[in-house]
Amino acid sequence: MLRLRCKKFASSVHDLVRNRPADAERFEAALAHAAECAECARRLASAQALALALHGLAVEDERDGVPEELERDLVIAFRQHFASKERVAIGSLPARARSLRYAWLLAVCALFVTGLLIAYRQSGSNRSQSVQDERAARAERHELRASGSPAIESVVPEKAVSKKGSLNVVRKGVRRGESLRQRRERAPGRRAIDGDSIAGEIATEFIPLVPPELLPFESGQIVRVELPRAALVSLGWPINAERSGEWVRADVVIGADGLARAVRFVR
Amino acid sequence: MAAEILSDQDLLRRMAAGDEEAFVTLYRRWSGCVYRFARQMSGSTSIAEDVTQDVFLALIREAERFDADRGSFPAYLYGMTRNLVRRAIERASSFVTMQDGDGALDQVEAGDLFAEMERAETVARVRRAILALPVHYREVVILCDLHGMSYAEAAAALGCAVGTIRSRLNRARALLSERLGSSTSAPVETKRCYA
Ligand SMILES: [Zn+2]
Repeated sequence: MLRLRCKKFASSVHDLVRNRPADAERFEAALAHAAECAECARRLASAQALALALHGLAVEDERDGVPEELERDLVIAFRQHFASKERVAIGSLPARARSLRYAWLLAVCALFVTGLLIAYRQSGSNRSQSVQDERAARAERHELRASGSPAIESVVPEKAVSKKGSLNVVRKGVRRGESLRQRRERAPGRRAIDGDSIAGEIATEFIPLVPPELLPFESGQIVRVELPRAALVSLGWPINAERSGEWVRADVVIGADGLARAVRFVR
Repeated sequence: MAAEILSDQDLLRRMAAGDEEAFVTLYRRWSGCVYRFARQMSGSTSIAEDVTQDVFLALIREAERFDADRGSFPAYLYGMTRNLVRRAIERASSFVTMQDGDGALDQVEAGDLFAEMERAETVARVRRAILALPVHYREVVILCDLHGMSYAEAAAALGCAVGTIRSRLNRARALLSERLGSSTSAPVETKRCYA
């Protein structure tokens, strides 16, 4: 049988009591020592009394339930948390599908912006081409007004069209280089760049290419590009198959960091 | 698979994906411990409610922060609870100044202590004695003696060495015994009384 000295006994008496079921041999040794040593007998009794008192408190507290309304409130908080997460996400696509879509659109836009900038620099500003474009645009606008239904609708997702279901008629007054924040402040309650375009053109609202919370925008430029309609198909947007060979014009918002933030389609 | 039989880690993973049943299961599994620990540490029901709410809100918002490689979920949960309750105690220190000037509480004979064990008055006395302990002693007593944690688990929850837990616990128990008056006149459970 183990013999315990008083000092060791004093330092381990609580553990002896606590571990009594698991370490019966050591506890027997403690009892044997306590039987011969009054001081350690008192220590043992004290430890047992304390263990019992603490056990009583633990049992008493076990009866205390957590207030039921706490669970109810937390479940509401849980639902709100995940509801707000869904609101933040654009569209109903899963996160990975969305990011792929943005990546595709960014890549396509970047490609065309780069191509256009190079072509523009090589050829300089070609006035006669601009006049031709303007004539074509005017003819298209005339056709659009005559038909009464904007053909561009087939290209743009429904969400991109203004709430009334019609396309926005935009006016002159582009302030290039103005930050989105400044624009928001200038026109509170309106979408950041909504309403900025060239006279007489019809444009959709700007469609964000990346969630603003992921890539903040402070300043940048709007660049006019042309995209093949087929490129939009690859992004998952519906088009008229007969017109897949045609090109569409778009304004792309490029941040100071060179990354595209938003796009709108123009006729 | 029923959520009740899933591990804490699996429940957390499901929670992070928006599974409400997983959250409710985890809450019901652990809220009692969190609430009791906070109440025992603070002596305040309102602090316990606030802390419990904050702990589970943190889990809702950042379920993915728990890293099983760094320790068990109970250690993580108790660690978080302990930090929040300590802050709450600091903000409302009046909740824990229940002891009198020299720290001595009502004296009670050990024999009476056994007799009164089931009585609420005794429980209240023990509770007051625990609340009168310095926070670093109080938390080890509550974790190890009221919540049944091993020294290693308590060390993980409090972020300190097992030896620290052991020494704090020894000191805390000695203080409790002193304050409960059971260290001088307790009967012994031996064949021979000390004579
Ligand atoms: Zn001895």
